[in-house]
Amino acid sequence: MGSSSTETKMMRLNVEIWRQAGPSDGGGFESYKVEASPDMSFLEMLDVLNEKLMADGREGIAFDHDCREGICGMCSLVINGQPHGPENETTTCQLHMRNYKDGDSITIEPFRATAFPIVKDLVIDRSAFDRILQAGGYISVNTGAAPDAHAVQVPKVQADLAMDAAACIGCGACVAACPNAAAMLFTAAKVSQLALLPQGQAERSSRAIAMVDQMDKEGFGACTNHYECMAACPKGITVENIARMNRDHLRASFTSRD
Amino acid sequence: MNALRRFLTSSLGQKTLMALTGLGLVGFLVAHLAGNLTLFQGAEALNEYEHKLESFGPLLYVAEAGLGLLFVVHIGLALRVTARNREARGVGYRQRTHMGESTVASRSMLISGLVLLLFLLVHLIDFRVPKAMGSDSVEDMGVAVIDRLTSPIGFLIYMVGLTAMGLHLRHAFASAFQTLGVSHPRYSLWLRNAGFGLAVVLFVGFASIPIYLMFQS
Ligand code: HEM
Ligand code: FES
Repeated sequence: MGSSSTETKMMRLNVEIWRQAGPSDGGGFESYKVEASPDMSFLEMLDVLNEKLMADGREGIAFDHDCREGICGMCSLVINGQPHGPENETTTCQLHMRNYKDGDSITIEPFRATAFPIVKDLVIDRSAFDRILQAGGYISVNTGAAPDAHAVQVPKVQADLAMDAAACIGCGACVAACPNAAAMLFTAAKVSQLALLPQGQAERSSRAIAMVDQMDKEGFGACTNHYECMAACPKGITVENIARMNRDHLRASFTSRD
Repeated sequence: MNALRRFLTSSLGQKTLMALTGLGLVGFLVAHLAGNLTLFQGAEALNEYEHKLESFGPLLYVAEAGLGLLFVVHIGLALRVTARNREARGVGYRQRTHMGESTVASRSMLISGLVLLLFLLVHLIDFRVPKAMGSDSVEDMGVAVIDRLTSPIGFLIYMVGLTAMGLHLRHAFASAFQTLGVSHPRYSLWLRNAGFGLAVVLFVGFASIPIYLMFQS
């Protein structure tokens, strides 16, 4: 296919990026010019920019990433006002530069939440999510060898709903998109994935209470039902999970014997 | 910790109370509109309705106290929760693209609520306070109300209050059900439309009265 005319046209972009030297630094936006090809991913565009900066003896822009294939939940960024950029159900690492054209301006900001303090530039500390999980996002049984697949049978509808909830990669886009920086969609997905399965029943009440409690302690906001989280979620987690968590929490608050 | 206390201090518990008191207030608005619609039959009909209400005697005061409590709890929690929500964001974004079901109504709940509160105070000073002080001017409540609603400034204040109410309800009704855990693909859209419908019906219902009165006079 050597003769095909897939010669890519580079585009020149103006990017404005939040720079912040450390947690206690004030921070501010800085403008850069960068050339990118439409075939690059968004993070590759940042890689190119960083190489240029470092070649000039300047410090590269710190941003989070790991798998770069949309499954680990490490990448973040609010791109032109949208967590993970404009593409539906797509993480920043899977966003491609073909969404942009020559001469475009792109503003890149970190996910903003008091509970997600900035470490440096675009890197944020999302360990608040870990602590919510540690508060109850598990079942207390010994893990031995993998159990026989059909030892506990689950109807298809329940299994599908649980799997949909379990698709959450914990990236925090829901918090970033929420006008109140609420962690409701994340917490609800983690509550739901267990509440929908037989193994999750025994600790269903204590789990809902403990995880909501930790969510509040971390300083996340409360849900005002704009559903911006659902629109921003790269994994399509729905707000039905939030309603489920609300039900579980309400019931647990009045009936739990723990 | 005491379970009830833990619930009431949690974000979900506070939102639940806001939703319950909010829906209670919606119930009040519907009843209030039904009462006001008697004005279509003239001042006399409203007076009759009012006297019937008064014949409840002390029970009316109990009902009024309950209504007051709904407002106090709803507003108190609204201010608390909103303050917490602002704090949770901290530094804001420079650029923001609203997504999902974010609407002007949903983004201005605090403002529409506060305008509604302001209107409510004017409203109470107009009609409820003079009554409590035993003033003669409200011997004939029907005439007093008609006077108020058909004066240009009274009409304007009334319409501003109604607009705030409509905006508030546009988001509030469906939102309250989601908060209470009522959600299902089968009827979520229906609930949202019902909230919109309710906002329109209440707005048109309340607004029709002064407009009718102005055409009459
Ligand atoms: C007749 C008057 C009122 C009615 C019928 C009403 C109704 C409601 C309802 C049903 C909700 C939804 C609760 C939820 O989502 O869980 C709500 C939310 C709210 N209300 Fe009211 N309300 C009234 C007055 C007020 C007033 C006077 C304020 C003044 C501050 C206020 C401020 C708020 C706020 C800030 C919210 C939360 C916004 C949100 O969840 O998106 N409301 N209201
Ligand atoms: S880097 Fe792993 S999801 Fe984007």
